[in-house]
Amino acid sequence: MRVLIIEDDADTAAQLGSALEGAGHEAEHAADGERGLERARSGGHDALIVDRMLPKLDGLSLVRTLRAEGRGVPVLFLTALDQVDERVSGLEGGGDDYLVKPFAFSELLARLQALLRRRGAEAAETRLKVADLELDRLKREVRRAGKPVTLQAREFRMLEYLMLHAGEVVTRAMLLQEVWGYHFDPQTNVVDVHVSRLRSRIDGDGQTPLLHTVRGTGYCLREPG
Amino acid sequence: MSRDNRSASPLFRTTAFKLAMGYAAFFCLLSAACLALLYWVITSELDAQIDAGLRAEMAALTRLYADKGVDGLRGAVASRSTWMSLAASDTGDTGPRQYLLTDAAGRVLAGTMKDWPAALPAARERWATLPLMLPVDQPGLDEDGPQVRVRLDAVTLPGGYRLLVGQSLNETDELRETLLTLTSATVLFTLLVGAGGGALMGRSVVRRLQQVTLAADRIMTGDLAQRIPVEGGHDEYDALAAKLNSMLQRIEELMRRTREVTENVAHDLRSPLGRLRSRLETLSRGTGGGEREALQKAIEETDRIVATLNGILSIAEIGARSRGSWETLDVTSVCRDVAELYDAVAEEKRIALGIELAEGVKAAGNRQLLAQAVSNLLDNAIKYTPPGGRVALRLTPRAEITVADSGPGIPAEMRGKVLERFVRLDTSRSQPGNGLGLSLVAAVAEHHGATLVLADNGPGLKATLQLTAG
Repeated sequence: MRVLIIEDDADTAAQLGSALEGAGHEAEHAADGERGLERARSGGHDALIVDRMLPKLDGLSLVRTLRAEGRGVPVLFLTALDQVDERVSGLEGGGDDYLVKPFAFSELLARLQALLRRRGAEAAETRLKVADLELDRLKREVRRAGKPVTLQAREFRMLEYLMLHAGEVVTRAMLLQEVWGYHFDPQTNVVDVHVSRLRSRIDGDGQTPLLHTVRGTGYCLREPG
Repeated sequence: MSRDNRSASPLFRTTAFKLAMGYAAFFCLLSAACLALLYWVITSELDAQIDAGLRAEMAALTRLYADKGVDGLRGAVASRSTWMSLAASDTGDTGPRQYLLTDAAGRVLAGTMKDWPAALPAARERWATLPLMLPVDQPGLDEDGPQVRVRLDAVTLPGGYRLLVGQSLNETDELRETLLTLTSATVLFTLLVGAGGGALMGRSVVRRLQQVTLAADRIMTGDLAQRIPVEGGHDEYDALAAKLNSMLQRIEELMRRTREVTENVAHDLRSPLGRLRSRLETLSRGTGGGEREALQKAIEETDRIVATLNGILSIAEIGARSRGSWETLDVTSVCRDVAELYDAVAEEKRIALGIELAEGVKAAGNRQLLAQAVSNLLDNAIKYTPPGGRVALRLTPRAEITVADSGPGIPAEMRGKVLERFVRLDTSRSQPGNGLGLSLVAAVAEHHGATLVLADNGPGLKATLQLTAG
């Protein structure tokens, strides 16, 4: 994956770059808005990481310009301002996701993965399958090894999201955002409890575990082996 | 909030209009009284003049009778009658003066009238005003004229002769009528001008004040850039508008500065914390064993600092927020969603989570903030309730959200204090949390114009968030 980082803080940019490269991606860096826009226009990036506050051209205007030119490259906004209105204006301005500083690299990587997947054909698939776990999005049915599994509406939504991102790390914040629509951090780790319930429904009865906990980050639903 | 029919008060309910109406009514009464007095003075003066004239005439005629007997009197009455008739024939009217002289048997000896008026009894008071049919003395016409009011005096002279002297009141009645019409017209005119002026004055005052009300309404909804229009007339309204505007300017300035400080703190702390966290992460990836463990601890510590910082900043931010992002919320579904988020945690801790939600409760507000507030209340309740206890979330049709638990509760004297920042009852700080949970609920409540009340649930704590249902 080739990622363009548009960020004026050299330190943050360097850390981001090395983390991305450590995860096997290719990173490019632009230190201000104008140069960032120039590079983004040259194309060839799988995703952009854009700081909201940039010298010369701010992040929001940069992304608006790109969108107006018909460029659909996924954009992840970074910001030091965590305000609901900021988030809304960022997403309305053409951003695909929004991450508040400071963040964990694992969170950033998970979100980048999710963004790339979102661009794919996820919406068209009506039947999802991971190993012997099947989910029918139309009939709203789940089967494990052919046997029906009964899930509550929220559990179904959680499993659906995890299966759409099978093999990728999904963080707690992402689940809270996608399944419940909340942008705040509950004080207790409520998501963990919901995930462990879901796990007992689909991974119970001595079956091969599919839903794994990624320590300190979140969860991953993947094929065994 | 029911926005906002208060500003559109009807004209007739405004103070200015009421004042103007009051003054108009007062001046109407005053002028009516003056004109009535004038009318009374003029008409009684007229009556007095007529009576004086008649009295003098009667005196002259009775003296004549005493001097020259009935023949002398008859001659005088006849000559006066002819003279009056001649005067009257010019105008085609009845003569102004009326005379009649009869003998004791009632036969007419002389005068302008054909008969002794039947309406005038023989034994009567001397002065009378009677409606009479008077003959019109015109050549070829021998019929009664119009009925006119006549002021008259009659005496019975020695020898049984009866003498009547009268004056028809045609002219004075006309004058009276004109006076009356003029008086009522003046009163009516005063009333109309007063009412119309009042309405106009009221409308201009209402319009000016409405501009203030409208601007205040917009400011209340968060548009601090609103100003009250100054019309340049240098009147007291402009002075008031200018004062209010400079006050608004000051408030806007203060709010802007608060916002700037918050944003600067956010930016200046988040960026270095971000760098710190990524360095620690990079380091921990390259090491193992005890060192890695220590670095993980440092990262967790950083995350706690960030969480606290986020808590403080969001409380500050909620305080400075505009209501621009408000929408009509389905409070029932907000509560149901949050309850669903916590039911698993409650179950795991063997706490019975009771949920009683009235259907279709609506209120204006911010969905994220309200959800966060309810989430914090439930979080606290579950955190402090021992296993096997009960937590209840209730929503009444009046948009009152209650979270009650069977935990240890908060002593009455501490209930106000826990809403302050960083205050925790758990002085050992053994439970996770930063002491900002209830402060944030309080900030959200204030932002929504709602009240947050902490009460005893006997045992436990009962937190009630009263929203404005809409």
